[in-house]
Amino acid sequence: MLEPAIELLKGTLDLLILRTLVLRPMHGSAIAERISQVTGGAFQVKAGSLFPALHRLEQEGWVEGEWHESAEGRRVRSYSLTRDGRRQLALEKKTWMRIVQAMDALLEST
Amino acid sequence: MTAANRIKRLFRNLLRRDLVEDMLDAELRAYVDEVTERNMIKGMTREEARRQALVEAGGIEQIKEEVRETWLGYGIETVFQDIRYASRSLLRSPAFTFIVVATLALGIGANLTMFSLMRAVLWRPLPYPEPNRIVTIQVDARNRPNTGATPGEVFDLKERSRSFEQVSMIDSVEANLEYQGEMEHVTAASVSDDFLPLLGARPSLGRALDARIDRGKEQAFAILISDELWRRRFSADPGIIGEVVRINDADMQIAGVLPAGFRLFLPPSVTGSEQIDVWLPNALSATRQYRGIPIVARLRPGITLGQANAELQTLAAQFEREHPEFYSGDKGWQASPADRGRGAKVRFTVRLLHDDMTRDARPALFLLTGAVGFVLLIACVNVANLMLARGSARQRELEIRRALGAGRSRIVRQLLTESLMCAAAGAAIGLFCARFGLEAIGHLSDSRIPLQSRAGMDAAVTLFALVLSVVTSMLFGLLPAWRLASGETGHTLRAGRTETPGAGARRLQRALVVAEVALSIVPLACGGLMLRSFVNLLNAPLGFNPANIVTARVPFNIRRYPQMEQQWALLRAVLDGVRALPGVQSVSAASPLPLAPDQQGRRVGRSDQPEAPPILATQQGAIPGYLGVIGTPLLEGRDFTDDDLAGQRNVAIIDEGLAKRLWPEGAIGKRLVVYRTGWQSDLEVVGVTAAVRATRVRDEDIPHFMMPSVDMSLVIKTRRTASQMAGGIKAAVDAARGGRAAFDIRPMSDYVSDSVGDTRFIVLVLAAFAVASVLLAAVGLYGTLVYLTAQRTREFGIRLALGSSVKALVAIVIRESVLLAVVGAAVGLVGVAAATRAIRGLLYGVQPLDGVTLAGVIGLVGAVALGAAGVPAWRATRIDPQTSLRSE
Repeated sequence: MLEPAIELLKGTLDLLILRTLVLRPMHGSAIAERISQVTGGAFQVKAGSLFPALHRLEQEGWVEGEWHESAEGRRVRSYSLTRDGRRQLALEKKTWMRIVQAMDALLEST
Repeated sequence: MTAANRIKRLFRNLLRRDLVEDMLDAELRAYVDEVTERNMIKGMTREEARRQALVEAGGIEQIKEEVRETWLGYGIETVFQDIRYASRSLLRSPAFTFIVVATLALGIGANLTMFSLMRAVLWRPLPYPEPNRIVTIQVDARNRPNTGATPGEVFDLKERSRSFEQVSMIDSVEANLEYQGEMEHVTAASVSDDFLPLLGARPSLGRALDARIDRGKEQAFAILISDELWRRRFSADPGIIGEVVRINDADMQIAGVLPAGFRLFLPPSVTGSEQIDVWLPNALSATRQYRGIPIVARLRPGITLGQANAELQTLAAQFEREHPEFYSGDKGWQASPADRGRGAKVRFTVRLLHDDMTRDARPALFLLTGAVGFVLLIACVNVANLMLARGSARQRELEIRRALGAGRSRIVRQLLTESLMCAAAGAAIGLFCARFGLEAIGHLSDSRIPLQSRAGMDAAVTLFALVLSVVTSMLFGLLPAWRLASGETGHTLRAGRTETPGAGARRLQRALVVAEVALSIVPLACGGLMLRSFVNLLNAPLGFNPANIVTARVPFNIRRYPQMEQQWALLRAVLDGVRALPGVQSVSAASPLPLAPDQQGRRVGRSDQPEAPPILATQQGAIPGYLGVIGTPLLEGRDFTDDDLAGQRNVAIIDEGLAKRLWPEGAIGKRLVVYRTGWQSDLEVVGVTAAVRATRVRDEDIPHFMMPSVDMSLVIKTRRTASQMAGGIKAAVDAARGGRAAFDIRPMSDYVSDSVGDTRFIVLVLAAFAVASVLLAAVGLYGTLVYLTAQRTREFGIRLALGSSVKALVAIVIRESVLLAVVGAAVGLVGVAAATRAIRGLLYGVQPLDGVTLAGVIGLVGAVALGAAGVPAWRATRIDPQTSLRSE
């Protein structure tokens, strides 16, 4: 994989993962691929940050890992969003929007 | 997530570790397989695709470690891992571990000992209710400090002052207890009614004292006794209340028993004993004729010391206005004509009781606490140095751990765990050391330090041990850990070669050794100065010869022997009885004995110069022949005669100090005036003796004089010991039927040794600390040199191969050692200058920057440096250039 096109802001990765899992449960590489696709390749999540992040979210109780058979017939650990996770997502979304608005205001100011 | 879920997860992480690990492994393997397959679809070969996948993942082990860090319980898990690993690694090098733990045990133990002592003496409040309101009032009168109050002053302070809730007084008295025919000297105090309530002491049996009913004009009718006396003499019989005993030949009723364990903590000048057996009631009177009464008071809530002092200032002025004859006239306590019309003659100073008690002991305690601080610092530097040296040898091991995915913080933690374990072991052993240290100090000082009896090992000391182990492990562990984890030699895995350590590491080690030497010479110099002071004190001319003299005190029963002739007859009977004892060469009597605590200060002067300011001198009563027995040389004139005594002649023998100050031209035949309370006596000087030190060995400028008087402190010249003589002396005193028991049967040398006891205590404890710090510095210097020399084996080999002589190598090693020591000593001297100035007050006959001491210290450090260089230098001579180069 290439170097990430954009340095991920600290904590942004959690938001990306939670948001991605809203659609359906996914396993590690699927999450990374999905993020890359949706952002048009702007965000490339490496295994070195993806797995620690997933496990951290799981320890927090926001996602739940379960063993599944993947489409290729491989046993993979796929993660789904818990109720706490949805609440957390809403929260982080709100924070993110505030950051965006603030940045906008700053950048657009004359 | 709910707490229950969290706990469930935590337990799963900790207990089903294998399962969790397997799952992580499977998850990552699946990921790599998937990426591999995707790469193959792109057209790579299987091997290439897999390699690419692994490269992209960036080290499976590292990812695993990072994932593990997110797991709940990771901290606990790794702490256990660290501890397991640390103990294995420490056990693998037992010699290293032993030295480190022993060093730390020494340093921590010494600090725990001093902590316990400081806590007992300075930090723990006194065991009385609201101790921060209990104060003493020091009275200075007629330009003499600490004279004590007059009864009238106590009375007026109690009546008028608004700063105090209670004002009470205590007077120590001699008491002879007689019960069922058995006589015994007991500790006693005479106190006003509110004294014991002020300290929160209420009788556990019987009632409190009331001077209005328990005391007549001349004597007391009732007493309180201590729980200890009650158990010892009265078999803890509750029926003893109301029973009559004889105290100093008067019948007194036992009114009550004080609770067990009640101790009297007062300044040493007030009372020598913490345990008083008999309490007598004392009534306040309005007289101002005599002084000497210690005051203990309780401040009203909310009143500060400053406010109380200000009020006392006003009261002192009032007293002087109301009774000018006692304060600025020639009436009252030791008045002299020179005092007439002089300004303020009395001053009151309020101090917290606790502060007042510990005032004299403070400098010594701070000195010793400072010294143990240095010992611990040196120990830490030493251990840090050892860890650095060992760490260099462990570079490869750490490198492997790093390669296996350990982050830098993880390695630092690992190394700190080792440090912490060493420190904890050191602290545990240190606790034991401190126990013995306290016992040793107890033996040494014999309660010379106030409140020392309270020192012991308790929860606070244990807690402090814990704190110390954490702090020290950070002190000595952080620097090496940070240094090692930064992996200065990142290429050790590649080559099997022993590298010459980087210049940085060597510089650090040298700096540590310099610091160690610098730190160690501070306690060493202080110890040297104290030792010289002590030797000076031991060699100080006392004016008498304490060797082979046994003393005993036999108080008089004035009631039964009111006349001097009767007393003289009784004393002669006692002297004859004692002289007849086996082994007695000669015997005489005087009082007070020199260096005994009950000295009498008098203001004296020349009779022909009444207006000259009086001189403070110590007064002693003696019978003819005393000078010969005690060994005070008579320089001029004559000793007292029996006629002087029998005729109660007004004669005096003065010492050289007084003679030189009053009559440099010759004192014999001159007249000495002694100011007493309310009157003065005029004495003819008949003899001059060598200068006598009566108050303390230290006090060289307080003169001394003697008058003929019948006093019963016996001085007995004998080769026998006090304990061998005790039985005979008691029997001889009993046989004379004087109605008093002999007590304080001790060798004269005890009084001398008590007088220098505080200095001896400091010297012994400080010497122990100084030796410890020098030993530690020597070990540090030695260890570093051995290590640096070993590291330079290859360099030395090359030098030899290039034609350098063995001698030159030895010179290099020795120069290194001496240089380190000299630089350390130079740095340390700055500290020495500061520290020795601070202890100036404890020194005797030696300057803070004493040349001999400093030369000795530097000489010792030089010798240590040479000694430490011995083995490494010898090793350098054994280097074989061929093997040292081939081993690469």
